[in-house]
Amino acid sequence: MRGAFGTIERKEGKLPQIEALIFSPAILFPGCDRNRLTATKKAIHRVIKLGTIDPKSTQFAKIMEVDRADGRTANHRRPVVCTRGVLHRAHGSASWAQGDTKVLAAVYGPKAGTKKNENPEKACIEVIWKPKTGQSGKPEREYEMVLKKTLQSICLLNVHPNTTTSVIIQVVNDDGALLPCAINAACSALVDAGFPLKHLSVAICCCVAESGHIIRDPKKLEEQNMKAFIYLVFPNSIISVLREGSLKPGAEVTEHGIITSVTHGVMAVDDYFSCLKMGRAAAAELSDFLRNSLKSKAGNDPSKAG
Amino acid sequence: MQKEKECQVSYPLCLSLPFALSGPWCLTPRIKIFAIESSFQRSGCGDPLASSSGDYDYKLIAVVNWPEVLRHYFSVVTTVTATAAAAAAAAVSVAVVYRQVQFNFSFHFFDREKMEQRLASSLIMTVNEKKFIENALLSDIRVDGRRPFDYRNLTIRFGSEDGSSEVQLGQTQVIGFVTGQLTQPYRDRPNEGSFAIYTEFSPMADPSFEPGRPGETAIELGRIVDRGLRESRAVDTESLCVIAGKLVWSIRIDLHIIDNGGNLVDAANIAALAALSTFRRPECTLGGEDGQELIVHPPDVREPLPLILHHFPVAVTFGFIGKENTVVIDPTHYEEAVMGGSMTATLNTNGDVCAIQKAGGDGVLQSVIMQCLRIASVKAGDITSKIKNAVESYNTQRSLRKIKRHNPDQQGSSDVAKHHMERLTVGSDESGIGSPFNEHDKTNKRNSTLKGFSGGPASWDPYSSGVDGDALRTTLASRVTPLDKHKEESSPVNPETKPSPKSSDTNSLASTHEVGLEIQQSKTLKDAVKPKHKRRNKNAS
Repeated sequence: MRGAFGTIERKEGKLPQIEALIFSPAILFPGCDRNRLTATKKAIHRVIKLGTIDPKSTQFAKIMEVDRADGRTANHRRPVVCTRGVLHRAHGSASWAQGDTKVLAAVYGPKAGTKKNENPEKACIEVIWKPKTGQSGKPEREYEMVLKKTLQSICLLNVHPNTTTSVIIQVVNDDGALLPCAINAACSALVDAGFPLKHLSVAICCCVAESGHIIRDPKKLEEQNMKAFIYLVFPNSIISVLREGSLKPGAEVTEHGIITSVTHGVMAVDDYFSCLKMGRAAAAELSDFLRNSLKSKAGNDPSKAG
Repeated sequence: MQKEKECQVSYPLCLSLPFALSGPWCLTPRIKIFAIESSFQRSGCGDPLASSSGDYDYKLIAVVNWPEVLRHYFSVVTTVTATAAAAAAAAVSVAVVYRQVQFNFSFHFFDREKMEQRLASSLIMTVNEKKFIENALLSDIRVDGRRPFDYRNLTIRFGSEDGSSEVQLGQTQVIGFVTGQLTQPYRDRPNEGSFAIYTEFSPMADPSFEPGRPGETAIELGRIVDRGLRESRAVDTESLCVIAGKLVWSIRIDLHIIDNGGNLVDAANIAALAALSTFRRPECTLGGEDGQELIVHPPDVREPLPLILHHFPVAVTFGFIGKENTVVIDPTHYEEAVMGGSMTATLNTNGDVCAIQKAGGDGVLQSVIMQCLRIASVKAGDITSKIKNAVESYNTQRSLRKIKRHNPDQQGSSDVAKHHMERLTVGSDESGIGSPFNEHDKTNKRNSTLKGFSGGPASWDPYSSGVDGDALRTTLASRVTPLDKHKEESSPVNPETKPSPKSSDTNSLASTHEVGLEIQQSKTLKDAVKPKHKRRNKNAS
């Protein structure tokens, strides 16, 4: 792999040249797997297309150099499976699996009345987090709080004032990136329930290695071994919503800000900003997937209406 | 029922059978019956035990028993107060009631408000719906189209880790997790491990389930599953001992009810059995310098061991609806709201009755109970075979994944599989989505097929760098001619048809297998999976 990138870096490439290099058989070294190269090619494409990383910069080399235990590159996410309408009694339900991490979310509501400390002029969202085994403890309370605040910012709370909507999360398997998985599942469940939302939310996870490399979608072992990891939630990418051609040429598209950012561990400020950059790119790609998957279901089952 | 009205006196009595008296309470098999009720036809009182069966109408109202094996049925009728302690039964034995009364003990002191809230979110059925269910049952028709003694569709799936199962029984869904820990044993059982069952009625299953402390139904469900496993010695606890008196394995079974479609007991029991069958605990040996140190081998180093299950106690639930002794098996949550009583019988395929639970509810004739038990033994056999098949297929998949792990050269093909999986889900919009159920299963199947396939070629292939076709053909030519013919037929066939991973696994002929492999290596894994248009057609047809 390193040989291939060395070639790219030496030739100061404009984009078409890099493409040509990738496709040419000259850089296929013996024993190279065609599929592995295809996947890497895709990753490079993704990164270059979004224009966030300069191919000439050292950051590019940083991202591409890391070798992970399961053979993914640094910018490679695990396969995602999103299923809606999993449960029958719940008003909305979704299951979100990123690789081996799987989370089930269910939504009930709106029910009449709000809790004591909540504002009765707005809808209230109640989150219940059920761990896989054992009693609910302090980490579960923290997840509930983060999830509640995140969902409050994407929901239209004025449509049903003085009501409570319950979101129940059940962890089926935890293999890294648990909170982003749960946030994505909760968002899909809210869509399945027909709850009014301002926009969708897309959550990703990336971590910072000792060497300063930034790795996307870590597994549990990687999370534990890395210097720091960060969960980021972005709103659904505006690019996917705008129709093609409606952008004036030369105009810059300003994305909405970050909804949630949770960090664990110590990282430099520069690392944080590069995580944000990578996170934004990753969220844009994931939001395409999310929007398409939510579009494809025909319509809500009318027999589920309470 | 008419006889009931004639009854003027009914005595609830408390009786403990003789052989319960001997021996320590917890060890001997015994049957404890809290109360006996019999209704007399005659107006006077009489000793119920003195008379023979003829004149009296006995109804089985409830029985709770703790034996390992129940082989006898008693001619006297028993009544049990639901979950009440012996103290309550003693109080009951003194009271004399003039009408048949259902005892409703509620020891929970709760807020009036909370109770109203909870009732408000529980299932509210109209009188029409209730009447419809009852009337339909008179003509042996159930609302979802089943016959009275038909089970709903049972699906058993397993998670990616050992010891996690997901059971779907019609609309009811339960997931089970089994984990193990090394702990100190109990003092009176120094060479036995232990297990505990934790039941969680998740609020996502039903709007009336509250988070927090488990309610009575949750506790009762946990007790039924526990009794079936523990008292009948289904789980071999002696094999869980590591160092007698110091370290044993403590198994924890977590059952999460995620969707309440009725009959939670059966589904939870199946989930527990399935999870226990696939659970693996790490192997421990005594080693170190003085031979006294305990080494727990991680799963990569040594294969973890499964639990020893002697038999499968399967719970079968019956609901008694209406006054005409209508019995239904596997009630849905609508039928549960209508039924007057229920009975759960836990049996195994050896013909043993492991436990029976009938806590209150309508009285049922003895003959009906016997019929139910006979039907339950048939159903238990069906369910046991389904569980065993599911566990077997999981084990074969698991062993295929294991083979992948042991081969150091495997990294390449496992990456290939992963990238391919990733490409399937990332590249196209539809492949990662699974909104309808079959889509989701398809993705699962595809992933599992790919997983199975990634284990295949490299593990059996001694020629990891590639096979020289000519050399292979010459070696084959020296063998028997029919093989030769086969190989020649297969080699043009293979490039045309997409080799399915399963057929390559079970291919017995070594020659065709090797040639197939050689041809496969020149292709990529992409060809192993059918192209999308073919897949979709299959779905549509």
